[in-house]
Amino acid sequence: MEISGTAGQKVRQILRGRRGKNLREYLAAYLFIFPAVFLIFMFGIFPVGFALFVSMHKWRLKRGDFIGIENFISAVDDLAYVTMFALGIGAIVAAYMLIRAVRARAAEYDEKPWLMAIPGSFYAAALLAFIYWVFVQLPEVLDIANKIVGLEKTREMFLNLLGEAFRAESVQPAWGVLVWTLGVSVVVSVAGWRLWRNRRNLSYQTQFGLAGFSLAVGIFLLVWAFREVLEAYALAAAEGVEPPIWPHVIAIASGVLLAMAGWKLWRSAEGQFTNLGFWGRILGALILMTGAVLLVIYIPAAGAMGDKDIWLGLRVTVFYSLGTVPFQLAISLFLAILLFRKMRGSEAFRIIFFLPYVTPAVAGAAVFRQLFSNRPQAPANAVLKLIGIDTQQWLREPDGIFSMLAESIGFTLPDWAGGPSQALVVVMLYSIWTFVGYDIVIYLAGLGNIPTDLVESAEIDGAGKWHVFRHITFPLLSPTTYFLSLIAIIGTFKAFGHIFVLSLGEALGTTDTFSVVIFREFFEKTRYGYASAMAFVLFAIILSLTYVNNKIQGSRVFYG
Amino acid sequence: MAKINNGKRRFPRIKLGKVFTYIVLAVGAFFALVPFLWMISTSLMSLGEALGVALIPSEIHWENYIEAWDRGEFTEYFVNSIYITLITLAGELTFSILAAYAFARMKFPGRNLIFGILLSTMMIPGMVNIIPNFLIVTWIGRLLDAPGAYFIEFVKVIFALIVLFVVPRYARQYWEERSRVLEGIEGWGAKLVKALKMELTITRENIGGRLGVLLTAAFVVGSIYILATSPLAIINGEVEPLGWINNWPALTIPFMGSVFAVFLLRQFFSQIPDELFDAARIDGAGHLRFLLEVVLPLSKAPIMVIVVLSFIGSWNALAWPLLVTNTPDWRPIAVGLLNFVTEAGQEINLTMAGAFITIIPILVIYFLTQKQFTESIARSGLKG
Repeated sequence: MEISGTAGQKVRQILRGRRGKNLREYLAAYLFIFPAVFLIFMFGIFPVGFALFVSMHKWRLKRGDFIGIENFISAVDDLAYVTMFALGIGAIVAAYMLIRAVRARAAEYDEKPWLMAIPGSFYAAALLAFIYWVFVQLPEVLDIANKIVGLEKTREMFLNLLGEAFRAESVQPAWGVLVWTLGVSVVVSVAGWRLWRNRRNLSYQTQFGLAGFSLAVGIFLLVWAFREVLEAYALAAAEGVEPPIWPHVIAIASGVLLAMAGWKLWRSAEGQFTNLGFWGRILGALILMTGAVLLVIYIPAAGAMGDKDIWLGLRVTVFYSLGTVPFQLAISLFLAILLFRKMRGSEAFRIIFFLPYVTPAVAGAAVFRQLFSNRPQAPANAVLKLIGIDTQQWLREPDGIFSMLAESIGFTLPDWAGGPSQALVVVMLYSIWTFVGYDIVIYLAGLGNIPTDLVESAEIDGAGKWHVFRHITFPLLSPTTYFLSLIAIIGTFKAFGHIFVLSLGEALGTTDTFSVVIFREFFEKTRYGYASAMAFVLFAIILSLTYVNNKIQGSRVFYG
Repeated sequence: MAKINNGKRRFPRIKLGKVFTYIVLAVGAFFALVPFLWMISTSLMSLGEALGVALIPSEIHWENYIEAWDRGEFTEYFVNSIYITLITLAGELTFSILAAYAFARMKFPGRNLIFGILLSTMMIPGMVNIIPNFLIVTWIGRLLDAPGAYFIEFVKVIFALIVLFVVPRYARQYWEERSRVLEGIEGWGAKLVKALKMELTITRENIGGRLGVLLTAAFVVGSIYILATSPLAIINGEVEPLGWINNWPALTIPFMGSVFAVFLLRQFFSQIPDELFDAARIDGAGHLRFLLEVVLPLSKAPIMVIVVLSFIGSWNALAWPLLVTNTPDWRPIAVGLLNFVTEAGQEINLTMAGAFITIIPILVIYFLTQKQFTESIARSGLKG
């Protein structure tokens, strides 16, 4: 009682007064953000790591054996190795950039922070030890759920089991390493702070820590990928075949390098209007194209032996993107420009165009299922009958529309040119119907941001409507168009609800975009590990799309 | 001069352009509305007529709606969806308002780092998270039955206390405004008429605020109910074990931490001028009071956006509810409609009635708030 009383007094003393004021504010702020941050961490950030954990296991309803990157290899074949090498090199480059930033700052303030690399490397070690510990601890904690099946669940039992899980035999070494590295890094860090009183001391330490961490991760990934490749070669040699993993890795790596180098050259030559600049641009473009051709040839070749479902899903998604995004944007831009003129009833039109966007996907899709049903009396077929076309199967038709069109005039197209299935075309129509309203609203806001005096002065100078649009409105809208196209393309990879409802068995999966393929793998086939691996492939695609889009379009967008 | 001449010369052409504009817009509107019109008209037909090519019902069958409602058990699904929405909203609003305020107006170490990490999670596609989240929820559901129930009961009590602490302040404001308007009016009849008139003007001018009042009332009733039952149950140790699967926690708690809501509110809160805060500080108000009495009344618009968006979100949710519910007890409306559509199959007059029933609440909410709604969509889109 006595001790706690004095301790309480001490705490109160610390929190009192002017210096305590800051501390009080910090505490209050942490309390404020705690619930939201905790929930977002629990259901938004931790699951990513957990999904990685799941994807490295054989996991069908229950956790099976640890199988490393096998799921990824059966999903995308050699691309898995390529990605691992790329990630490893990326981590090492990140470490190099961090060190360079430290050097630049040290030069700026003219100081020598290099000794702080010692606490930094201990930080990195502690972080690695923490990850190792999580990786060992997680199975034990997960197993509690299996231990108590059929028992009456009480608080005491749960706490006991939790305690047991943390004290389990297999976790002991991880605990040891974690406690040691943490303890040592705290001691070294405090010592570093005592020895060199500098405002930037701690941030130097953190930067060194991060650099060390990403260096270690990079080396680990490279070594792991190297060993996996060697293993695959050994396995193949036992069967007497030679897998082309190294050629694939090298071809794709050189493709990426060439593309990047060409891009750099092109960009640096773009501002120069000399002969040298001109040839630089040509050369840059050539190198860029060579790299791109290498990538276009070798990425599918490297992934060819992977899962067929993934390639089908990707093909469907690409069709879906190409068939929706341009049309959606063009229609909405056109309508938005018409709506933007202040006239009677434009408000009402805007409300009408926006209606499909707020309609629940299941309800809207239920209506589309009937509009495009295969009954001869269904509206779509009835309209076609008016112009003398036979009843179509619509959502139940797995054949590509290009081959169907060609057949109707007597050609036969090869399989690869068949195009999206008729069922997918209906899904595209639904998607366009839904998202035009959203795009219109964003475009209207973008139009509202265009200064009117620009348009007016152009009109006084005698520019026609088309010229005003082509040279003023459209360029000034490019940030909006860029934003919308990015959102829409990423949206096609994430699209789920309406496609899931619109896809019927008869369409033979020709409407299943990538997200739907993943969901079926998880929900219907209960292959959790494999579905997680596929989800990471999706994540990688979205990330690289965003990156490439930023690089290319970001430089062409005019932020006036 | 030139302009005027131009205008005169072009006068007929402009008119032609206008007609053209209207025609194009009308065609667009036609395509946007066709599915709705067809749905409504089919839902009023008899089955035989609905399977034919008729466009307009020869005889109006209102009873289709009653039959669809009964056969689809829409009462249960409606109630479920409303519960789920209200619970999610209660948590989401409270947590994200607090967090957004801290990120916008308080200084603490790691503020930008934490916010950056939160923002980066918006990049993660839902399909990456859905599997581990399903495993987490089943894990929690299997383990935390008893202890988790106590914890959630405890959280409910705290939440109810907060609601009952906050609401009277607004009620007082409202009451003062009301008595100011009614001052000097004699007789309760005249007072009632005047009060109703005031209500009507407020409703017409600020429908979002009225919805907010309704929502607040629902929360107050819920809070009183919680305070009447929960503490006793906790003390007596009679809290029912609470599974997560097939129950509201799995459907609501993962959605209470919303990065989008925190981001939207933070943008808004950081635009509030510092002078207001300094003035409040001098008057002796702390962060919480400043938040409740100054910031929140100013932020009705973004809060309405979050309310409407998460209403639509939980009304439309399909993948997650499919995973975590396997009985109708807590199934939301989207899953219910999907089941009904699969089950009623070719009776398309009934399925269309069911679809329209599902859409109605969304339409009501949208029409009531459409101005703030489209504006905020536009604003959030441009910033993001």
